[in-house]
Amino acid sequence: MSPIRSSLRYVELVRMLAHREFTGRYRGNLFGASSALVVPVLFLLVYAFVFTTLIPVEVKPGVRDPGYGFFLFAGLVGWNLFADTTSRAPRLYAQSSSLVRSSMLPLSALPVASACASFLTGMLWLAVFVGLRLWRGEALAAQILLAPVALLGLAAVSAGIALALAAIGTLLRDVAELVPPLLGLGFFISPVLYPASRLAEHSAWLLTANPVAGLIETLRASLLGDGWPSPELLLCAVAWPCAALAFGLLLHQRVHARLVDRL
Amino acid sequence: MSERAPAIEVRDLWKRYSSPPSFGRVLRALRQGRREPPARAALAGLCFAVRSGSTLGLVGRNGSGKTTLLRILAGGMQPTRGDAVVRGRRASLIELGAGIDPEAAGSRNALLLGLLAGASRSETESQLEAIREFSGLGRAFEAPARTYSSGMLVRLAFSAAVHTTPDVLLVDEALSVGDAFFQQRCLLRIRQLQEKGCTIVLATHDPSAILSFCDRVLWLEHGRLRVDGAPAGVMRDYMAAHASDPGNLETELDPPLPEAATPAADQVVPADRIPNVDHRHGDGRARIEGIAIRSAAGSPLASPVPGELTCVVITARARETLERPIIGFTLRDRLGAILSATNTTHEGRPLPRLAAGERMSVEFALRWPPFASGSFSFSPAIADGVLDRHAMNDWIDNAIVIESVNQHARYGWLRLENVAVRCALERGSPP
Repeated sequence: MSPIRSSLRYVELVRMLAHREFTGRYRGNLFGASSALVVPVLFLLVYAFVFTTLIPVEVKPGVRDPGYGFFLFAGLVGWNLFADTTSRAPRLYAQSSSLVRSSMLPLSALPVASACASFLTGMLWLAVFVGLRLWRGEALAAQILLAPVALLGLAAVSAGIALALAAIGTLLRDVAELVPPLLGLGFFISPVLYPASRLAEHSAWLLTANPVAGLIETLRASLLGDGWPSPELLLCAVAWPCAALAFGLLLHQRVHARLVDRL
Repeated sequence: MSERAPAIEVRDLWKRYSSPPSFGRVLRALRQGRREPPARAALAGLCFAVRSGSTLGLVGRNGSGKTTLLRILAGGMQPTRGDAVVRGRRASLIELGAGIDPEAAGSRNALLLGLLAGASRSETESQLEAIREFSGLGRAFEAPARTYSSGMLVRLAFSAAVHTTPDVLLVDEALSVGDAFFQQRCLLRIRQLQEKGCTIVLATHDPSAILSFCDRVLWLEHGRLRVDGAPAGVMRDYMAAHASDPGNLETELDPPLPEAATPAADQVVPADRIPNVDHRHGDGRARIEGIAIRSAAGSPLASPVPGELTCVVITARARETLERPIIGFTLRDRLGAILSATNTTHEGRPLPRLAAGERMSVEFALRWPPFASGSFSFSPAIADGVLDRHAMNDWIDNAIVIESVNQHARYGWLRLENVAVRCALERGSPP
């Protein structure tokens, strides 16, 4: 097969698998894909309650933002895309073992498709965000057009890390147990509940070392239309997707031959 | 076209399944002071090439490496060493339900299966109607696959696979699922693919499938090539080896069949073993002690060919005196249908009185009928009385099973013999 044909086939496969994954996540639910919004909205309500009334968070120094709900929503869209993809990754191959063992399915298509499915969910959330913003009578900045790009960057980071996790998780089953608690920790050291500037005051390296921090911050800035993240964070937002994808693909390539045996 | 490259080339192919690392095992190995032995090789240095357009059969008992080989050929699994080159588009039917999304409709699954086999989306879409037609799923084609029975899954998978116009088709046992009608349709389709020049690799335990489809057979054993040759010869040896060994997966098969001592002309050598007991009933006044199928020379016969002298030997011992013993057997095909039955009285050789403790061996010598290939079972029995009024002393269902090979019976149950064909052609202008 020529390289062009095989890459076309790869794209086609990813498309079908992503569709399958996306509809698969919500099929059989009473409200279809809209039920994808229920759990996150519950989280949103609880977080908003805790962090506006019980432990108020200052969005800007000295300012308690009345729009904390939107602030949180924007952050959660980004974080959930990442957490959704990576938490599924370690068991991804084991779940489709019969498919993988006896067909020419390029393994890497599975995590990539999973990231695409999460991206679709993210886009759904963006639509809800825009709807809520308009309903509350708030203007939308032109920057909002950049939000899907930021979301795409997040999908790329997620795909890269999911590739690595899917490969390692197949070789070492323990990884599947480690990922959820690590994601729980990651949630609190990522700028989701609070702005990146708060973290930058104490330990700026945590922001640069965090693959999703820059992207979440960029996503939020474009959604809320209030200024841009610092240049370092913007640079992170560009560099991390490339780095994660390259790392994920390389690692996957290295261990690829051993993966199918373990399924 | 000049000399074409072989469709499949396999060079020094090795496969060892690695096991996941575990701290406990490392500790154990350290304590015992030696490294763990490496896993047994599922494939150990296979080498062969398959001419484009030919059909290769794979035989071997469970665990001999057939499925591993197919998986590697299908591209789903990487060999540990060596390489396997498959030229052209391949479609595989290896695992039932592989790649089928239980929640998606049959049609959507057919699309995915087509893509996995290497066809483009538009190509598969244009074939969807043909796939529905061929699968015979009808309205179920649009229902979610989780509502399918295993037979329906095979229909879907097979239909999708053969409609991708593969250059190489890999089939593992899949044909044995599905009902008889669909099997017929599959076989027909495989023939059509053969005629179109598709290369086929077929792993199966069904000797008749091998004999009627394959140009060549590889007999695998412990991941090695034991015999590579023409179907008829390989299958004969294979089934003979099979019959002489009750099927322990660890033991090496070695075919030198024990030649029984040539018996004196009018002496029946007793059979002292009952290879299998599916079900046994009777009043126990006499017991069957053994059954054997032997050739004219007296050696065990595992796969008679039509016309071959086949001796059915039944040995029974009386516990109480039988005044008028009858010994006989029932012959069944693999589906359990009774093909024939006979006994000593029926054949006009009434047996003498059998006193308590005495043992008797009876031999029925017959020409093996021109049955189509398949497996056949013998159920021996001993009774006391006359044909229409007797007491059953001992009856054993399917005490011995043999495989018979008939290259000439292609259709149905047996080959009609002595068929004379005459023909008359009348020329004339149409009315």
